[in-house]
Amino acid sequence: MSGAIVQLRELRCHFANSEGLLAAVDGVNLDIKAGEVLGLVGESGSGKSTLGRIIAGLQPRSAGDLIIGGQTMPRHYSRRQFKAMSTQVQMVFQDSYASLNPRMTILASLQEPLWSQGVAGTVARDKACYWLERVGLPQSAGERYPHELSGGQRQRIGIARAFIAEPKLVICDEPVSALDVSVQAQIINLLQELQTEHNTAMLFIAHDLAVVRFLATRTAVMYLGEIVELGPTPALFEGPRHPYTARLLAAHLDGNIKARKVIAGNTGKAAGHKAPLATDSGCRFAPRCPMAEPACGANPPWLRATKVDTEAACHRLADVEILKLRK
Amino acid sequence: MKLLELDNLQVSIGPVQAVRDVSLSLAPGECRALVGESGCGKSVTAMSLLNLMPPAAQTNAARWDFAGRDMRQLSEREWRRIRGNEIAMIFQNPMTALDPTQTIGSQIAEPLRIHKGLSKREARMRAIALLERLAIANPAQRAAQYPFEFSGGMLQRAMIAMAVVCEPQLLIADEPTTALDVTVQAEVLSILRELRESSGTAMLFITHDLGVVAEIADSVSVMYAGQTVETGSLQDVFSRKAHPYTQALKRAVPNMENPHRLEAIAGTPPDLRHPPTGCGFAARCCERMAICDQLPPNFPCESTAAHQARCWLWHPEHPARWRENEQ
Repeated sequence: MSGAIVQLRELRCHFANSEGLLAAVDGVNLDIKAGEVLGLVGESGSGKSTLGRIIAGLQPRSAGDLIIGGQTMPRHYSRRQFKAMSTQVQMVFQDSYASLNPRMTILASLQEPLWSQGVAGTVARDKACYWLERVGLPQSAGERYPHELSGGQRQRIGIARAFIAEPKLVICDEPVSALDVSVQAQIINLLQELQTEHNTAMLFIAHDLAVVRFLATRTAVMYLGEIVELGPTPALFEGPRHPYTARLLAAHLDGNIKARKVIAGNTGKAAGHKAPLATDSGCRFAPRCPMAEPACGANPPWLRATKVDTEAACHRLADVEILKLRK
Repeated sequence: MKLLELDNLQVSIGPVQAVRDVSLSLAPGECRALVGESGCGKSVTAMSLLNLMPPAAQTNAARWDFAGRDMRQLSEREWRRIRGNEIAMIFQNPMTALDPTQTIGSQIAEPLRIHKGLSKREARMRAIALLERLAIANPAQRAAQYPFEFSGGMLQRAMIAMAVVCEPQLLIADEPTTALDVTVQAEVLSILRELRESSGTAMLFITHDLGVVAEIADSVSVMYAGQTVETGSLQDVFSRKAHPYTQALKRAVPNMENPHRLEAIAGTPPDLRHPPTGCGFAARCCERMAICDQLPPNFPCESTAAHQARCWLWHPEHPARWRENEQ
C-alpha cells in the first residue's frame, strides 16, 4: 500500500438535478501519502470541497472506492465505523463559528474528540489545556464560549480540535479564506508547525494559490469534478502543463505593480460556465480552452506523465510541451 | 480640482470610535484603494461617504467636499438625489444586497427611473444593454430572472451594473471581489477598469487584498484602528519604505515567487472603545520608540507631499533623535 493513508479509486459523487446527474466528483484517482501536504485547488463548483467531505465521511460517494489505512470504507457508515474512521481522519472547516457548538465551552469542545474515543476525566482535560496553549490561547479562553472569541482564535480551536486526537490525516477546507491577512499568516504558520511536529498528512483545500504554493508538497488541480493536473508543487507552479492550470495561475494577482495582468478579452468565458453532467463526453475544459480542437470534445482526457514530473489530463499535452520547450 | 476632499472624518457609534481620523482625496477618474484589516473602519468610512450610517452614529469632519459642495450641510432630501446617482456603491455581498423578490432587470433599472426619469421600457432596455456589456449571456432573459438564479460572479456583475447604471462620478466598491474565484475576480477587475476608462468614474476601492490593489489602484490609503496611516501613489506605498504597518502587511502575505516563512503581525488591533493615547499601531510595531506610546504622531506634514505616513519615524526632525533619547 506504499505509505498511502488514503487511496481514492475512480471516486464519483453525483447529485440529481433538473438537468440530469450533476457530477460533482467524477472519477478521481488520488493517493494521499503519510506526512505529505497535498494542496487541492480549483474554482468554486470544481468539487474540491465535496472530495474533502467524502474522505472525511461527511458525504456518501456514488461509486468508486475510498480506502483509508488499507481498508475499504463503506458508503454509509454505522456509528461504530464512523468513530473508528474519525480516529484517522479529521477536518478543519472554513467557518469556525458554525463548526463549534455555541452552547459548549471551548474546553469542552476541545475534549469532545477525546471523549468519543473513550478518553475522559483529567487525562482529557489536561490534554485539552495543553492544546489550548499549543495553539497560542490563554488558559482563560477554555472557560469561554465560541461567540466570545475572534475569528482567528476560533480557527485556532478548530485546528486544535482536529489535531488533538492525533489523526493520520487532517483535511483543511479553506481554513484561512475567511480571515484577515495578518491573522491568515498566523494560522498558516501554526498549521505548518503542527504538521511538521506531528508528521500528520494534510489535504489542504483552497482557492488561494499563493497559500497552497507556500504549504503544499504536492498539488492537485480540479476542474468540474476531475483532477486535471497533479504533481510536486514547485514543478506544477513553475511549468503548468494543463491550459486550465496555466489560466488559473495567470489570473492570480501577486501584488506585482510592474506587471498588471488582467487579461483583456477574457470576459464572457465564465458566462458559458456550465455544471458538469455525468453524461458529458470529452474534455470539460474544452469550451473555455484556448488550445481546444474539435477532437477534444469527443473523448475524455486522462492523466499522463509530463516532462516535468507532473501529470496532466490534456489531449494536447504533446503540443503544450513543445510550446514550453520553445520558450 | 479634486472631486472628493475629506479631512479628519470622525465617526463614533455609541462608545466605539470606529473612525478617528480619516483624510482622503480623489481626483476625477482616479482609483484609490483603501486597505486595512477588518474592524479598522474601512466600511464605516464608505457608509459615511453615502451618509448611510444609522442615526446613533455621530459623524464629524473638518472638511467634506464633493464636486464643489459641502456635504456636511445636505438634507436627507438632497442626499437621496445623490445616492445611486452621483455616488454609488458596490456592496461586498451581492446575495444580501440585492432584493430577492425583484428581478435583476428591475433592480438595475430602478435608479434610472428614479434619478433620470426614464420610462419603464427605456430603463429596461438600458439595463439589458448594460448586462450585455458586462458579458452576461442572454441578457434579456437573464434580466427577467431573480437573484437566486444567478451564480456568485454573475450576481457581482449585476451589482456592478446597478451601481454604474447612472454613470456616477464616484463609485465606492466595498470588497467587490473578496467572495469570488480568481478567474472571476480577474474578470470583474477588468470590467471595473474598462468602465473607469470609458466613463471617467472615480473609484474608492476598499479591499484587504494587496494583490488586487497592485492590479487596479492609482493611489493607496492604508487604514489602521480608525485612522489613515499612510497615503501615497501606488508606487510610493508598494516600493518605498513605508509605514511599519504597511510593511508588516506586505510581509504577512504569501508570495508565489519566493515562498518564505510568513511573518505574522503579533498581537491584535486596539479596542476602539478605549483607543490608545499614542500611536494606534505602537503595541504591534517592531520599530516602536518611547514616544510612540506617549503621543499620537499627529505632526503637520507638508501639504504638498504626495506620500504621507502617520508615524514618528517620518517626523521631519530626524527620527534617529527619538531613538537616541531612549538610550
